[in-house]
Amino acid sequence: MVMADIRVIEIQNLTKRFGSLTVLEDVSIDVKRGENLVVFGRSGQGKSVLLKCLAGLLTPDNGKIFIKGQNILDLSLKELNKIRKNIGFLFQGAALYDSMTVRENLSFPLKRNQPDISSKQVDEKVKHTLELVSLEEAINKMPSELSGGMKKRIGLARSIITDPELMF
Amino acid sequence: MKLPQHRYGRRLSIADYFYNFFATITGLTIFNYEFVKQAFLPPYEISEIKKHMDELGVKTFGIVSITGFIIGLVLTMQSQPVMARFGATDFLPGMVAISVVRELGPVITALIFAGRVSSGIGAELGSMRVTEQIDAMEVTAVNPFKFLVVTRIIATTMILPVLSVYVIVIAIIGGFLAIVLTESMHFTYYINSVITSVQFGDFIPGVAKTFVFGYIVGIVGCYKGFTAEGGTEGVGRASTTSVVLSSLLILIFDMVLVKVSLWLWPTLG
Repeated sequence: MVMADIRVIEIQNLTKRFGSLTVLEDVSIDVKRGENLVVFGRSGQGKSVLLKCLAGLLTPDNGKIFIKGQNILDLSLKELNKIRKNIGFLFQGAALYDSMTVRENLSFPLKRNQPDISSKQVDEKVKHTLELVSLEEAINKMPSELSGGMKKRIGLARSIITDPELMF
Repeated sequence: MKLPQHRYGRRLSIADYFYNFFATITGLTIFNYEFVKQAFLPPYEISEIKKHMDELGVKTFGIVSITGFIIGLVLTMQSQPVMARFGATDFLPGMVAISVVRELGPVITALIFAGRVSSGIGAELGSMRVTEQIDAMEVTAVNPFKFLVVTRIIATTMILPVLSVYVIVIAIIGGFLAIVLTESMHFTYYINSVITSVQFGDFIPGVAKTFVFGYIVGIVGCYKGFTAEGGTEGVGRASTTSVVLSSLLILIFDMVLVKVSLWLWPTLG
């Protein structure tokens, strides 16, 4: 079996309801390593709900979600967090931490998930990631000082700074 | 952690009010359990606790200073004519000190703290909830309950007793100023009267209950903010209900704790 055939995400018969409203019904998707999958649809059709189920933020009513062979619905929080460390999640509204500067927003996941990392390495990584989204000058700004587009790019920078294997 | 959700967005029936009441009680109980479970497990987030203590202290320092001073001043001004009628002006410093140490200092500080801090925590966490910042934290494998809730509750529990002691001191100074405005009393005499009147048994229950009040302010603000829903309207609701509920709980617990302290220190009665 070649690497490209390894299924990193396997969704089996996923169903999610909010009260009487069924948002996802019997959804099954496979994503292989290196594959880009686009889910599109009208507003309110459950695209975000699907991603939140994948990240373990919402618990589905039915079905199974395998990430790298592990059913995340059967995992303890500690085990789920190990998987989450390999996930980059870009929220629709960027979800930047209001009380932190851009530098702190970016260094937060790094420092939390790699406790042994030095301050110098964190600083270099933050600057490099900001260069990737062309926002080096925003490093000391607060989220309230950024435009909508800048927030999005900083949100993207924060989600890729840990070099995740999976991007949602 | 699954918490009971409120049903907003439509006119509430009597059944809804009962539902909301029991949902809040259940939610707070679960929140308390979760706090106790997580507070003693590493990581302890000491720097976050220090940061919150610092912020909360600075935020409330000015307002509690003014309030403490006015409490002492007004209490003395109101009591002075009555005490003079019975020829008991000499007991005024002791009366003011005991009132402030046992009850007024801790309770008024706690109520102001609730108004200033509980609403702030409710609004801050509520805003983080509705803008998905808490979800973002969870996705980065950080425990938001530990990082946002536990640290704030510990900070409010630790800082309120400090503020209460400070308010007690300021109120006693306010009391002295009220006396010297109308009578000639030396500061040394005033302080000696205060020290001889206030016993250890007066001081300990008064300050000890502020730990409980601080905990109430923290847990209610965090609970309301952490479980907020419904956009900016939900944030406003979290902020308002935090103040109302924490003030109410402070007064209820004060009643219980006064009874407990009288049971533990019967000489106080």
